[in-house]
Amino acid sequence: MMPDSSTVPPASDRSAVIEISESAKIFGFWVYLMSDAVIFALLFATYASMSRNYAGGPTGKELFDLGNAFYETMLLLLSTLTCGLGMLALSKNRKEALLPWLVLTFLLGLGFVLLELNEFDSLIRQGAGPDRSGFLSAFFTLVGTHGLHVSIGLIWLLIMILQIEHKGLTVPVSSRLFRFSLFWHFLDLVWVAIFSMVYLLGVL
Amino acid sequence: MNPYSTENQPRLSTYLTGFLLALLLTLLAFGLASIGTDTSLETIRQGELPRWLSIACVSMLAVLQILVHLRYFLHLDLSSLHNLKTQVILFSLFIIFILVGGTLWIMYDLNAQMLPDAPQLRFNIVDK
Repeated sequence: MMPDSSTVPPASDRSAVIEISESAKIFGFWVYLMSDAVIFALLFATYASMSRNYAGGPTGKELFDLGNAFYETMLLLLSTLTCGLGMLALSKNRKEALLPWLVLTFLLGLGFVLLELNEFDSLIRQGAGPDRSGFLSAFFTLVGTHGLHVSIGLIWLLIMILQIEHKGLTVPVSSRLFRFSLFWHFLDLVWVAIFSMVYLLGVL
Repeated sequence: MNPYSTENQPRLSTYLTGFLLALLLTLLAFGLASIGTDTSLETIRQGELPRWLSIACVSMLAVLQILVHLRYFLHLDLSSLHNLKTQVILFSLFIIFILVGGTLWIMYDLNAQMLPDAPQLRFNIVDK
């Protein structure tokens, strides 16, 4: 939709207006990310209080597979890099360079979610589901909430890829994509805390 | 015009530095944990790497890696206190400190007071 040319402000004013509204959106997204950080911090506190409540069931040392956690970590770390390289292409407005990075980010993220689902499945098959002990309830809540965030991020990324295809790199599309990158980097940051606090300290 | 070219000025070197640092810290942390659990390395574990030390090292590596992610991937710059974003982040850290610190303090204290096999009580019995 093109507004009537008589109501359109001069180009310099328009880009100034866009810049102010964009920085407000980015600020708002940081407020959201910080509220999410509070949620994760509380799930970590819950996990820490429950981490010895085995109820006679298996301990983290018996259950956790460091190899699997390592592959998950690598997938997410690589996807955060490809996402960053995509943002580099976005800042240069290079759509043909941006799309492969985003597709790669999506595939790496999907690999992470599949590995995690596989891990959950094998835990539940072993009888170590979330209903086994307080420790396992807290484990599934914390790791599952992160996995859910990553899955929602994947849906968001898929929508962004389609929007780039259909609409091109318009200002709103670029703006959403930038906020997606913040979300994605933030999730990798939360994963660093999870693999250190849950998996590594769990086996030590 | 793309507003993000002026917003953060991302550069290839920033992302690559961040990635390499994060990779190094991850490998160190996983390496420490597998040394700490490998039974064939029993002597190293008991002789040179006590459990509390590996735990302290893994925790420190995690904090370092989180700082690396904030700096190189989220391009966080807390140099300006007048920035609203900085204030929101600092306020959230304050809230997290109260909630997490308070939870851990109360729950561990409660455990120590209530459970007959809590480490503190067992310690007292052994003492007598």
